[in-house]
Amino acid sequence: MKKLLSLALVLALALSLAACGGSPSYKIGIPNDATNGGRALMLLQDLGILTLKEGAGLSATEQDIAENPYNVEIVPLEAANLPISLPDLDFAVINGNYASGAGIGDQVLVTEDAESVAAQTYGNVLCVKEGNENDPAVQALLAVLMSQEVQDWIAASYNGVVMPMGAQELPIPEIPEPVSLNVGASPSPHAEILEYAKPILEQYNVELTITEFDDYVMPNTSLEDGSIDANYFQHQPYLDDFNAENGTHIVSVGTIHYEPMGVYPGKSDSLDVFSQ
Amino acid sequence: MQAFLNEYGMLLLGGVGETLFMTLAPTLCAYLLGLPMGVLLTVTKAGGIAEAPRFNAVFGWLVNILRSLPFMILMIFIIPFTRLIAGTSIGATAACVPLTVAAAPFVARMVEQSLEEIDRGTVEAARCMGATNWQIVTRVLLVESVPSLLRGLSISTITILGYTAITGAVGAGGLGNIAFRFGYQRYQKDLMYVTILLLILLVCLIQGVFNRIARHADKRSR
Amino acid sequence: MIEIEHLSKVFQDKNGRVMALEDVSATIRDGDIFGVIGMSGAGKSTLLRCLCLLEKPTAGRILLDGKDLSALRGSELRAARRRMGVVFQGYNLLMQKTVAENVAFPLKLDKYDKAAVAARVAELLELVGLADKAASYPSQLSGGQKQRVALARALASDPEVLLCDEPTSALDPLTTRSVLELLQDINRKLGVTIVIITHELDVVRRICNRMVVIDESRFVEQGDTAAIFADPQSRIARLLLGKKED
Repeated sequence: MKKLLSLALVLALALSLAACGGSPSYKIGIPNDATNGGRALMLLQDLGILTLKEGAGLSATEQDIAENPYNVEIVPLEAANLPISLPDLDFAVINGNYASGAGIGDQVLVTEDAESVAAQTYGNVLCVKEGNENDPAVQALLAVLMSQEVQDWIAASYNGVVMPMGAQELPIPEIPEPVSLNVGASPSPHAEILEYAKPILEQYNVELTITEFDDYVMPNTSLEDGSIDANYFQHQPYLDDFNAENGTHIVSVGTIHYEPMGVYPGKSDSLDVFSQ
Repeated sequence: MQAFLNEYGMLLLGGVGETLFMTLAPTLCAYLLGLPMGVLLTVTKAGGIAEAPRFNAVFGWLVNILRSLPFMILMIFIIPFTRLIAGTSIGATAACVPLTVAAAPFVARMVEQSLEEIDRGTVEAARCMGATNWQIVTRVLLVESVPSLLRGLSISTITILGYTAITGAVGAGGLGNIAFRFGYQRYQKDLMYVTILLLILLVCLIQGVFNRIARHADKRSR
Repeated sequence: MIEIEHLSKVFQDKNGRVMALEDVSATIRDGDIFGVIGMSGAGKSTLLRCLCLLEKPTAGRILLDGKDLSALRGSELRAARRRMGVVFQGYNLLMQKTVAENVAFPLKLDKYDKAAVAARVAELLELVGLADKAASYPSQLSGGQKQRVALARALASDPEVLLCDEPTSALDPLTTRSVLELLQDINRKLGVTIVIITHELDVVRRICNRMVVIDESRFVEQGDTAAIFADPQSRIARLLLGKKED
């Protein structure tokens, strides 16, 4: 009986020690949830640190790494935990809002580019009900939000947690008589950006009313039933899911900003180690 | 089937190993701490062999507070302490620290309960024979409570195994973490089912082994 | 010799004060088989618990060969305890240990010689007639056999006094007789003073040479058994012995 027990114990210990594995050169922390984990790996791929398998895309996990020339160890952790775990990692890829919340926002080494797949996919969009895309007031709002002035303001106001998609010169339609436009938005940063755009829009005869929502369902249902004219709070994948689940007919007219992930330093403080 | 094993075989094997490690090591440490804690709780209460009601009240409170903390919060809260003991706050070895800290008070209460079950008369007989308090603890309390302690060990081990699923937050791996991240979040149903099956097997194995040992060790049913 | 001097024991619980023993006094001579008889709740168990120091007297003293037991502490207390063996009503054996290990328990509390302990255990088991049960566990024994193990254990440290709490109350008549015979044997052979707490008149009549009657926390009658049985003075003794009320 005792022999069997000690044998089982040895086996268990051996198995568990085998799980420990060797010691790679760099530990990089990433969020362990599906959406953010994939984004983090794509960022690392864009930086040339590793290569993912064909078609891995935004739902990639550390299992999808095809090439790992620098022998980095990917450590998936709870996203909110990454800042506090930095002393135990070489680097970590962290969401802007968590980094900012932990007070390390200004230590960022590099962020997702506006051109990256992640930014393009998860950029926050201005939406209207299907059929209203060419409404003059909506087009005016879009043009103002994408103007150099507003996009620059976004870049300067959020310490990297919110980034502009990139200014575009869009035509602003002539609006002879003042019109009102009711836009639903989340408090931050969306409503704040709209507040900044409001006086600019007045010059073009658009009276902007901003309706704040605390949840992610009402802005869409209100848009669908006509209580508001447009909304600005979600990204495209969420919109697509919402339309599919609820049978709504909401479309995006443009992508205004994105909330990037960035690489933050831990035990190592420069990404130059990956350019050898 | 073959393709599944090819793709996930190593992941699952690693998961089993990590889960076993994160279950057995903290259980051992939790008992090293929790057994004396449970003994203290028992002997210092009113009517115990070393009555100390104020100490008992304070210590009991401490144990209750530690037990009230949700494991996730505890794990994050003691990261500096974990770093001190394990050198890092991430990974399976580091996770053993919060697992032990969370489990020790639970074990203390289970031990206390096992010791409470012992007939008062047996302790009185030992006192009458001139045994010291230490002798009563080691030769009466911990001897007569062995079958109950073993059954408690079974419950504790499986509880700790349950906790290991949450350690994914600190990058500790294990089967529960695989089921959650890959199975649930990424909708890989086959992987989730296999992981759950493995967990069920592990629990049944642990439960079965300990029950057998407890039955074998209990001299009252010969 | 045991002297009980004006012993009182009061218990305090949330319902108030309970006087379990009230100013009781008695002398137990060396070699006596001393019976303590009374109805349930009269105070018999409390008396035994005071004698073996499980309870501290509220007032009064218990003297063992002139030494005040309740004043003893630490190693002195333990030494005094070794001079008294206790046989409990519920046997109180270690269920997870063998008969031999149970009997050896008191011998291993101090430094001991393995061979000497083994020999003593064998001797004791022989004395109580359980030599063949040395490796058995208590759960495998009958009530009478468990009682004998408890007896052997109580005698292990070579005590001067044996305190027995209702030793035969749970046994059938035949087993009762053999246990009582054993007690008499021990008293004669080893010279051990025996104090028996019981509610059975028969036990007292058979082997006790002296006795005391407890009724509602007081000693209402004490002296030679023969004399009391012949001519009981107290109400309860008269009731127990079936004497008519005058």
